[in-house]
Amino acid sequence: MSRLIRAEFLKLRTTQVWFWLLLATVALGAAIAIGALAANGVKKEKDVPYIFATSNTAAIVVLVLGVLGITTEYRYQTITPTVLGTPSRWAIVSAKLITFALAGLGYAIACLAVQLAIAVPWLSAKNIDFDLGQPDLRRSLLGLPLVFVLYAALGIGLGALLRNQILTIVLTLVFLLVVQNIIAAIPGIRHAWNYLPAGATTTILYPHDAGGPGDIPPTSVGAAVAILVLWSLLPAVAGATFTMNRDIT
Amino acid sequence: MIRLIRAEFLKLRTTQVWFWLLMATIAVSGLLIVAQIAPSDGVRRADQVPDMFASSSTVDIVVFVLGVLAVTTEFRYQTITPAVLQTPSRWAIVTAKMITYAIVGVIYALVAVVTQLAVAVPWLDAKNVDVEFGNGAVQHSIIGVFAVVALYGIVGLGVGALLRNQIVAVVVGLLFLLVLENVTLAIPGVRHAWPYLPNGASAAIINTGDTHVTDGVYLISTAGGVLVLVLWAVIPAIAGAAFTMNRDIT
Repeated sequence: MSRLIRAEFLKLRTTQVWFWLLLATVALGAAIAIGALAANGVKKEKDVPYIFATSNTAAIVVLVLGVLGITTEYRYQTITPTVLGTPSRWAIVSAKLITFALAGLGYAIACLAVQLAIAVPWLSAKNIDFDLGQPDLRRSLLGLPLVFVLYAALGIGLGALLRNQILTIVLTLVFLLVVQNIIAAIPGIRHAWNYLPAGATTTILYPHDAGGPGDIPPTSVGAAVAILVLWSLLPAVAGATFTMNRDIT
Repeated sequence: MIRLIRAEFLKLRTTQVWFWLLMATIAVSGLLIVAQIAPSDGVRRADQVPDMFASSSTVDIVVFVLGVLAVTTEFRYQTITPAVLQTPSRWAIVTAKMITYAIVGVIYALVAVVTQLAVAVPWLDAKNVDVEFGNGAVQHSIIGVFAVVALYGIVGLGVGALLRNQIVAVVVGLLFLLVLENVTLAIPGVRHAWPYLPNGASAAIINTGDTHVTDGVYLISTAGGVLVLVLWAVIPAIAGAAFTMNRDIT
């Protein structure tokens, strides 16, 4: 397994996509922090967690990284030598999950480092305390790496399940950025929002008196983590069991 | 040129993507209306109707994807090789695609608007909300949604011609439209550029009366919005035809 993981890192390191998506993650994180601070959205100490919670949008970029992690193999047919070398789809998907979870962690650290470099001096200039003792702030700072890691794994899982690169990307982005918001507005099914990636992410990162749409009461943070873990593992299991065993054309 | 356009329609008709994206257009259009009428604090008064249609223009991203795929799928499956062997002029290829996808955009926009009306009108009628088709704001919002959805096809086409790489064009395009533009709107100073970005231009086209967006940011005029959106389609397409599409095809 450690050889497979090393092979996955080699694949990741020797193509360009990690660099551009890292740049996109960091730029998006920086823009979000600047937007929150410059627009006077942050006025009090208890607004500080929002700067970091809002940057969960940058996790979408890490999700794209995960999706590409597996679909690019199908796209450029490198999947053929990969499965010849490692016939077990479980082994391949597990190695990719571990590799991209670690990559997601790296991206989260880079994103947070840039955000902190922007936010800490700026907050100090505004005379707003950056108090790490504040539980909501701690949760948003620690939750962000977790969310990035799980989104990277979700990307791998969706890629394993759907295999087709462009189909996976379009479906995933439209679902995450459009359909989830629609679901949150429709009575009857709107309470399902808590069990979608957006709802779980919001519960993990945001202070609990705000964040979710309207009057949907959030689940507990533990439950939200469990929901997001299931989201990131179930598609991977389905992919490794079913779709990845189909003929490769 | 007529032959090239007919060839483009043939390419589109004989692959599956038009069907699935048409289904997506219908589904997203319908759901967007449901999401605005169904909640207990949803649309209940006649004066909320224009905003309801305006908010349903998000379906434009489906047509955007269709446009992006128009050029990039040719590079993806290397059908671009026979295409440029037959028609060496990149200008002719891009122009034919532009005309084709302008027409296709109109058809998708028509489907989107008809779906929205089919969901909204009987439902609002049952709730005793009058959809006043004679009202200027209602007309403006419906025609606006139609125009925006129709134009996003060629915006996508321009982006595809410029970037060529399918996955790059789709990821960059969707993240720009759905994430980055909202971030832009949040940053003081930079937010004044927003009315000239695609979403700002769409908002200007649909404009339901209130042109104030936020903190000193105002929408441009409807005609200006159409012009800006057309430029977002034409400028990348020209750059694509003049530069990137002339690069070696590997």
